[in-house]
Amino acid sequence: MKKNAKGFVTYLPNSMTNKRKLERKTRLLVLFLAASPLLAEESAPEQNPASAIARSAKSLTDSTLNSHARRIDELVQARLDEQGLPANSPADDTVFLRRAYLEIVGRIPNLEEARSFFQSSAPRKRRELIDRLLDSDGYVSREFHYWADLLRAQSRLRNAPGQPYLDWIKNSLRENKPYDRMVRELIQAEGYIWENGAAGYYLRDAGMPLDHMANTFQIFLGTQLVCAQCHDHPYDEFTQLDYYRQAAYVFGVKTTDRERLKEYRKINRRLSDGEDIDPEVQQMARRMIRPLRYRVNETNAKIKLPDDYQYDDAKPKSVVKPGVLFGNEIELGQGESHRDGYAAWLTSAENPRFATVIANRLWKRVMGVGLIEPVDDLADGYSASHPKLMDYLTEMMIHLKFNLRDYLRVLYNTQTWQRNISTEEWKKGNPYYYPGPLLKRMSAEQLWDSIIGLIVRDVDERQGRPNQNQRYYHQAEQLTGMSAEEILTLAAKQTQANRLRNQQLQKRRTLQQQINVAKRNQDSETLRRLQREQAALNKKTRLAGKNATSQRRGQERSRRSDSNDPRWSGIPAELVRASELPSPAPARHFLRQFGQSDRETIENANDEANVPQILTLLNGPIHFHLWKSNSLFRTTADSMRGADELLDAIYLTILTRHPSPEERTLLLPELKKNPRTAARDLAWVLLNTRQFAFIQ
Amino acid sequence: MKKLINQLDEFSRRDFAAYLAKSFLGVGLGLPALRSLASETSFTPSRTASAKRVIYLYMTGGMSHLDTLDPKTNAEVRGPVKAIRTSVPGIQVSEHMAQIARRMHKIALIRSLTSNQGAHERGRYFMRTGYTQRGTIRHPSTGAWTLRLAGKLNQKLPGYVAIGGDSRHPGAGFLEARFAPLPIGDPSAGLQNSRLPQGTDKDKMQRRLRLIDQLDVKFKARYNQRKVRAYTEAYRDAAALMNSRDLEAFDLNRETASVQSAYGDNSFGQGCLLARRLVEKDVRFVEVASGGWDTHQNNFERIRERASELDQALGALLADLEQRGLLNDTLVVLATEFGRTPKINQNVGRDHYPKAFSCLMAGGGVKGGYVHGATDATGAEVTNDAVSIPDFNATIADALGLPQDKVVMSESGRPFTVAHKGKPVQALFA
Repeated sequence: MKKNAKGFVTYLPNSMTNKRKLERKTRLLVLFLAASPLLAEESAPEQNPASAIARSAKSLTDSTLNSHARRIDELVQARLDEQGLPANSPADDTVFLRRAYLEIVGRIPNLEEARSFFQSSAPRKRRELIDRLLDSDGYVSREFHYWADLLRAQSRLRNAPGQPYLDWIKNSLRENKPYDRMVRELIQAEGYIWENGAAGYYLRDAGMPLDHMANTFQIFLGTQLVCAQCHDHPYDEFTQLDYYRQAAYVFGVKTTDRERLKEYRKINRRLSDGEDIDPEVQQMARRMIRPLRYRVNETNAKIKLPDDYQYDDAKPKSVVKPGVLFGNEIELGQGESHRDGYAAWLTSAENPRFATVIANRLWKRVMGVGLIEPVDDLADGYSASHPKLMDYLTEMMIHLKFNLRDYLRVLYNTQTWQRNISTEEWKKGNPYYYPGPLLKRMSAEQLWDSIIGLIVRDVDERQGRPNQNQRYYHQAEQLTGMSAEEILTLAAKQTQANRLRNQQLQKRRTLQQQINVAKRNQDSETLRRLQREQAALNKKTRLAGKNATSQRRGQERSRRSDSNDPRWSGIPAELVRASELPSPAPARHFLRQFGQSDRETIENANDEANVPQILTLLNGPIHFHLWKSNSLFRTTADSMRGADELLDAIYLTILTRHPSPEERTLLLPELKKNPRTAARDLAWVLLNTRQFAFIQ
Repeated sequence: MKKLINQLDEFSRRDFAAYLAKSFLGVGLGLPALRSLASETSFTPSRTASAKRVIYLYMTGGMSHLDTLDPKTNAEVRGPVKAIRTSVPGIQVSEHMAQIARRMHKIALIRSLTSNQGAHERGRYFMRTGYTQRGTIRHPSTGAWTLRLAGKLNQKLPGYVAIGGDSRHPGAGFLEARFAPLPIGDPSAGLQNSRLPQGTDKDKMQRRLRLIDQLDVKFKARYNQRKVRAYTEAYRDAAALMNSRDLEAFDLNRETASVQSAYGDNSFGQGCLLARRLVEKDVRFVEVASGGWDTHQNNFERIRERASELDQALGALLADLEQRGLLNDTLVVLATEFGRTPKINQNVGRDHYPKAFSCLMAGGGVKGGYVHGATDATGAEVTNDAVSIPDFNATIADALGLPQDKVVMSESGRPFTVAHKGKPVQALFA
């Protein structure tokens, strides 16, 4: 990352396509193990940390920023005055700091970060902190989840690897791609997902063009279409026919590639004819070529009304011509496809809902409740709780040219956001006048990232184990150019490797079963013998695994893996920020326990309490990791001199504040008597407080 | 709307309300009169519950009906698998189902299931929720519906536990998270993190819990909000659970070695044993998944392995439940996403076949020694009494006495019912 004299990160233009082409040319042939992901790691261009965070503040001068923020505060204040309500008091530095870190970079500040902010006497230190956080890697990690939740982006799509899609999201955030452009890239996506991550947008809804249009409208236009899929929309103005007209714009976009399908059939025929080919190898080959079928491409397919269409305005099964549900009609320019016209219409500043919806969505994220609620159901005649403010924010969004980072920068710099949280609960359906932001429970990701940040130093930089799903796209990329014979050869090699692996696994399973039986029978002698065998087997497998894979991957791994980084030695690879884990995390993971979205439906995260969460916080392995010798928390605690300093450090680290005099009186005696145990206990206790889990 | 009103005569009042609910209630506010009309009819009394709890065994991958519950004599179809007699004259099952055969007089087979979802994920979703999968909503699984409509039986334990399930489980769907299943990955390991960490005894835990409360006094007073209180309650529940003797329900080590091995020394068998322990403590709905049924290759070998695990576990489970007097009011369900093709493919496997397949039910008021529906000589077509997936789910709901016409709104304001208007197979009940 390059910084100029002022400490600003300079903008490095990202010529992704050229870079990718180059990379592909130089890429080595890598073999893959199919059944389990143990695969080539290679830095994909979109993951490359070298692509700098784009510095965007320059486009927003101080005076513009101030005038926007002031105007927003005035509009909020006017409504408060009207209602005769007082605004909340301004938040102090401790509350501000913790909130800013959690909201902007998605985790609590660490001790060093907290101290440096508190010690600073710079007059504009809040403003500077907001800028710094918005331009950091942490911002990408934090924002990623919002977009992954909206776009239902998963590491595995039904027919294709999802990782390139996730990388595309991160890269768009890192580059600070204007929002309208980001949406156009999704709508106009073409190609294989490993060529263009945005193709994930269509692949996610493969084979469901009507649902796809409903999702697009819900996400970007805050409009619900689903009802009109089967009948006229009962509440909004539009009809089933209108819906089909709208869907017609992208109905021709297919996720299977007919041309490739022909190739695929050729290979398939070769497989079926080749009776000499081992069935397992055939299966492997089939699996290897499967992703090649899924390529986003535009066809001439026309949408037709359903067989049971029940209205008089058109005949069942008749072809439907494209037409928009609201806003200006689309006029196609020369050489423009229906899809291009539609993408331009959707993302235009003149589209009556596009800018409003994103302005309202982000307002809700920052303040806790939208000016229009729900944010994704703007039925006809919808109204905002603060119409003038909503209009202002919409215009501001357009004025900022859909620069989301600048938009957030303005909101974070308002007094409204920098006030104390409302103590009163807001109830759905009631208006909220924004005397300050609302109380929120940390999202699953904020909670996880905050805890991991206590353990792992420089946590925002840690990438951990590159996602296993990457193997699909590396593989697919190579396979695109291979002949059937080459594919079969590769498949045979892999089958062989798999067999070996399965034999090992089988051995292990049998052994484990025998161990279980011995345990149950309390046959300690047999148990010891079996455990010795198990240890020997484990060692052997490890060695075999190393020999088989290290030669071809060793170099690359050591280049990019975190495992050699002394900052993280001995820290398990899965202790990384949530954005670096599979999307979504597995069902039993901490993140899912705390309500991470399964990314099956739009914005499906939740913040509800349940018992397994509590068991995890009380008895889970986090406390073990927290107190291991290489944990950041542990080394900090060990370096403190005296109980006072220790208590301060623990409070600052976990709650971002100093202990109150009462807390000091309560906690110091034990810390003096028994510093180590007491420190460990106190960390455990503080992590289980509501003050930790809720954002004030 | 006009069209609807013209059709009014054709509808009974109740149908009309149901139709309206289906068509119109999806739009949040508005139409208050119509909504109250619908809700009046939404509490129609259903039949008296014959089951209090459910053990739902799910065969992931698509269990071949031909090699398990619906064996055929046609040599081309049946492959090497033989049919055997059961405890009920006239009913045969495959040779891999010896334990099930012995208990056929307690079991009702359904041989006429039919689905239109031939892909795993969508088929599973359909089976577990009664709804086809959509990109815009997530429907609750039958267990979540059960908790939502009938509540917990034992307040101290979770009401819905899923053992060995996949991450794509629809869970609570759009319902609140408290209706989601508590996931148990490894039945032998029990409930994650329910034991105190090493070096922490009960006293120490109590002291720490008190200290948490003490340090939070101000915060909780300042923010006396629903979400904060929910956490305070969850801490209380967790502490109670940790101290509860009922927690032992999750601990398989409390079973003798002979009981453990009776269920089979494998994850599914131990899962069934855990299910029995949980229903014994009145957990409402327990799901146990068994993987590996996607037998595109070597169907016969693999079915032998899978089916023998299933047969042993299910046999042991039924016997155990009966012996403990639990079978009368515990419904045991065996479900899967689809069957397998009658045609044996070139890899000696069978492919996906949603058109016709088999499941079974036992206990919970279901009559034994009964076969519902049938397929033709090749197992390719349902010949009579077809049962759709919503019908199958409605049958479970009916056994539990759930109100099947009760409309529950999603967060987005769309109306849904348990089992999606399926018709319960009444013939299954004694």
